[in-house]
Amino acid sequence: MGKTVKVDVAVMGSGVAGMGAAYKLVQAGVKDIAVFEKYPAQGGAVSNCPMMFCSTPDTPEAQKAAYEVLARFSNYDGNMNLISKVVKYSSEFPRIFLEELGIKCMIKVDRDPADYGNKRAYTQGHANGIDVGDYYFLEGRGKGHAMALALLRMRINLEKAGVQFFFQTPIKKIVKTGDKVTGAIAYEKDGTEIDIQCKALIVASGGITGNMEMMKEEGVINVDPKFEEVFEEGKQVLITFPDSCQDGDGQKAVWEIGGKKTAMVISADPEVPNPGVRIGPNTPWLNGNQIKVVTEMPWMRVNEQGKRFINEEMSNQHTAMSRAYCKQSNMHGYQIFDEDTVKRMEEEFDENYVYFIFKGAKLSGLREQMDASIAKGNKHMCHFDTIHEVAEYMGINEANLKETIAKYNKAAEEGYDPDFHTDAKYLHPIREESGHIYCFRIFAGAYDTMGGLAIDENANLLDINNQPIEGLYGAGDMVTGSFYGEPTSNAGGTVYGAMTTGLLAGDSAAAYVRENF
Amino acid sequence: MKLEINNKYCIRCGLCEDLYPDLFKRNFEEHCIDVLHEELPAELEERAKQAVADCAVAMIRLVK
Repeated sequence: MGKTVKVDVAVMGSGVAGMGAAYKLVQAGVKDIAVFEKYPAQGGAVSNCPMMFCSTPDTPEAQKAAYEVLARFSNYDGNMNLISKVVKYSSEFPRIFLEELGIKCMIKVDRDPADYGNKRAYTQGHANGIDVGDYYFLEGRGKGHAMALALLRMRINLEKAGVQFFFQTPIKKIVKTGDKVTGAIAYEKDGTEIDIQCKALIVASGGITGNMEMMKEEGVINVDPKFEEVFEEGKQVLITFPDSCQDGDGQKAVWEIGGKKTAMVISADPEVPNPGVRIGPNTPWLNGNQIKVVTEMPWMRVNEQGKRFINEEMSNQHTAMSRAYCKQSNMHGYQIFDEDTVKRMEEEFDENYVYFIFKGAKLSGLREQMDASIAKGNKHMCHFDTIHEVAEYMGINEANLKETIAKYNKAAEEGYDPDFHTDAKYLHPIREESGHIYCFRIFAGAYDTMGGLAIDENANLLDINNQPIEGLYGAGDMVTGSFYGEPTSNAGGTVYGAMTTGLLAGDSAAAYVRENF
Repeated sequence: MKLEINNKYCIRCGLCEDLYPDLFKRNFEEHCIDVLHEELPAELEERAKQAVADCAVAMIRLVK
């Protein structure tokens, strides 16, 4: 026999977006709220968060400046009114996270709104974030911890306020009566069906990271790339979110009742697959992962054809890099550098480029670490005396590669890169005379996915005719295309998009319930 | 002595496994963190104390 859960509002997912929604529902005085989560704990992809958040101050100047940066970023493809609401909700972050949830801010960087949009990636502390406000760097033991702790505290607060949490109980179906959403079907771990009866449903179940088959079907992963196995769980060097339950349940349930389908994309942290070495989610912040550190560096990248494809300054912008890799044949690229570069880095990482590589840090034991991996069967890295050997081993077009390197070296020598405009300070010649050539094959690893659904300016999920579906709201990674533009191009690693849409969905669902029941 | 994890509130971040692979292991089947030693060997007690202190959400305990 199944069970019945009758509530005012049900929330699907307890990540940043779902928790934000539940928080606002409680604030708005909604009495009966239930959160359904597939995983045994709250948080969703929050452990993939940066160690900071960005918040746009609630002043007309800042709000307008942030709005304009985001509108341009979306190529005016997002919902412009939704953008202004997202920006506005972001100004609540310091109150929610710092004051109410007691998360400690180590450093606050106040920005002049006139400068929004000028900083990129790690220069603002977050690989994928957009520069639209003040930055709050948070205290925590590792990546994502401050935000993960915030969501744990939020859950405890919500439980005290009477919110019911159902863990390991995924919603699989949405129930519509006439034009209205009136419920959903969830399943407990043992298969027991739960008939959820609700006045409104908020869908915030994230991407489809855990569902390889769906990623292929939806074109997120090219069908049958040469090194497909690296996208399987446990096969990547660094899996920031290794235990994903994001299987696309939300997207599928909404599409099934006529929801609008939008593009889905991979947004990832470029990685060298390294199955021989056990490296976990927090490893970049621990000592000793030299391979990860090197692959963050802005040195030459080529594709299988031996051609450059991006301004390597973007190396610290994970979304940009991983998307560029995905666009290359077989969804990967190569980083190549020589012994001179290694020697220079063994004195000190001179680029001052990536925020988790602190001043004074040195490269050490790179070749040993590579050799250890290669000995364990890793085929995605190599070092040889000649470019010929590297090209042959890695399967890069040798003639093109040599031509590319000659051109790149000339750009380094002249201090000007006419092809990709990479800053001269990052151009380091690649010479066999240095004694050695190193190469990594890099993929869009540690992946997140985003998109699939569209919302309007009230976070109401849209149907195929762009009409809001009554009683159904959406938030988080799955709908961020509605304000970042289609396809989405900002990682779920930012709370900026996910929490704001969650807060909006909570407020909107609360208003809907208040006014219609 | 043994280590215990409060699974109700553990956030499964995996920091314990990253820092103390001799004490913890992620369990992808059950979506939890496994404690590797039923009874903690005496030589690991100091490390276990550090692990308790390092848990981001203070959900690891050392119990008799």
